Amino acid sequence: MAREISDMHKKRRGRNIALAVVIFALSALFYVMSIVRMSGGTGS
Amino acid sequence: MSDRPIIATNGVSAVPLQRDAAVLDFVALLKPRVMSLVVFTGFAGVLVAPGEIHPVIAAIAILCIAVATGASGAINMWYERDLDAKMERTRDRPLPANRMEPETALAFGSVLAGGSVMVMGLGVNWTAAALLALAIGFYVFVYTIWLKRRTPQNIVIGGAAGAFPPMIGWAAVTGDVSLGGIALFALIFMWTPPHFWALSLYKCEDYENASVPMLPVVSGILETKRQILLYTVLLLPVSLIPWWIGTATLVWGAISAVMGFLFIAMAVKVWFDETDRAPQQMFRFSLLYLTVLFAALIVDRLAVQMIAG
Repeated sequence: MAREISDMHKKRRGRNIALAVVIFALSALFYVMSIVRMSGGTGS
Repeated sequence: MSDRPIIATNGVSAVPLQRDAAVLDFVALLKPRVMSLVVFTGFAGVLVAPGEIHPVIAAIAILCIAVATGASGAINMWYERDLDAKMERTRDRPLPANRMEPETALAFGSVLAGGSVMVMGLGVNWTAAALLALAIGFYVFVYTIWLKRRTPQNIVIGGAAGAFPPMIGWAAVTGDVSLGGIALFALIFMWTPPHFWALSLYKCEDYENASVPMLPVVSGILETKRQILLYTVLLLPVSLIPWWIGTATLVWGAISAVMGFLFIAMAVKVWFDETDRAPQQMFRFSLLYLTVLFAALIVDRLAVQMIAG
């Protein structure tokens, strides 16, 4: 029972870390995009 | 871990997972080998299109094409998990191998698909985003869900999805759909049938076991070889259109012509070969063909810019 809870915690922690990385990466992406577009470097 | 089905509280039978899905399983969902070629053609479309684009915006466009391609692959794997389980080539994929829950794959693919279109629209332009959405929708709804299990022409029509990336890359720069992008679309569109039919020739039994109506299963080996030859012959003039309309130089046109004739020669070899050897060689050559043509396109454009600058 204790081992199952530990496995569950590990899974949940892994997913939380992955989500945090994705959110951070997206935030960085949008930040960079905004800087580039505001500086006039648009595609079309 | 037992493979005996367990009955969930809602009465649905469920088989326990072999193990928790690993990062590599999520990567496998994205079909990375398909993604690499698609991204390469998209990159060529960005580079070859007339006009200027900020390098960061170009990188975002290519990233979105890559993510959308992966998303389409993940959704395709979700939908075709029953077929994948029956085919030797695909039965070790995460879903048929029971390393991931189907809902996880669907959610993963759907989020990536929606996200890539949104980022393309917000970061690049909405024309490229619309084409990206169209490509995803075409691959998922037209090819995977509608055509693949119904007609041997599945790959002819459905293959259009793989032809979108250079057009999307082009639209990322120009903001529109113009003749140059369409020419690159047409090239990959005509290349797709002989590419996949060469594969299906030596994987015919696999497709038959899964009841997928690929051309060799429905119409036979001889008819498939005939169609391969026909399409490679038709591909030759189509592959010269980029040179003809001025998107590429005569040097590129010559390279394209040489590769086109070699492709036809491979198809002739397939026609006469009774074994799996020639179809395997042709499949590998088809990958080389597309890589060489688009690599040459990139080099061609860079050379023109260097001479002009």
